[in-house]
Amino acid sequence: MQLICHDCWNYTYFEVDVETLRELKEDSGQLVIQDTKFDDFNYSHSMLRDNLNDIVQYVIKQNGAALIWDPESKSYQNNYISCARCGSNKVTKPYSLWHSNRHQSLDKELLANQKEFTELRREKKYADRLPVLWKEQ
Amino acid sequence: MQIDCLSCGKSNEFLLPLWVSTTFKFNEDDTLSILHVKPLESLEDKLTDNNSIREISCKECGSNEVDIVFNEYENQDDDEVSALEGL
Ligand SMILES: [Zn+2]
Ligand SMILES: [Zn+2]
Repeated sequence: MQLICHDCWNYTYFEVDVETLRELKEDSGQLVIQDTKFDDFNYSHSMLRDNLNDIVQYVIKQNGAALIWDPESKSYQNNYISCARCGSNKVTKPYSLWHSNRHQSLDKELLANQKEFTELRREKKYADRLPVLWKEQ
Repeated sequence: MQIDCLSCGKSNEFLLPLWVSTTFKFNEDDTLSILHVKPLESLEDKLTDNNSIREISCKECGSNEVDIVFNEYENQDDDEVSALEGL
């Protein structure tokens, strides 16, 4: 789960405004509007996908910076992404992701994972050695 | 209608940025799929707006120095145009 709507709990379908590129072409006096291609590569489609991906990743990474306070509804609203189910702008990262592990100190976390880390180091030390099947004479 | 690039003068292909509203979904592996794309701006409006015309660039050389000439007889066939011009 990457984003969630605080009004209907939808975490799958969203809407966002994205900039894309169209090509204007003159063909015997008529204006033709089409996707722009370089050789066989559809640049209009590629730009749409890239820009969509960029803005979604930005919102997920920034989270707080992508939110604006709306005094009317007394809530934070997403500046970029809205819910495609109910139209709400109250779209954020799920609270659980946002605050995962924040409740415990880093020292405690390191201590709790100490054994796992030792095993990992041991594995790394012997990782490039073959199992010994018999002792050489 | 005629578009000319004032820089290279040889292109008849031009690029225009356009905002669209995109409905998408998160797949189970967190990749994105696009469900629907809806234009937010009308191309006709953009082509007749002076500020938007500056966003048009030449596909050949990338220049924004573009000249657009609207032809009054655009949607009429040649006979009709010549007939009107003869008046
Ligand atoms: Zn919703
Ligand atoms: Zn040019």
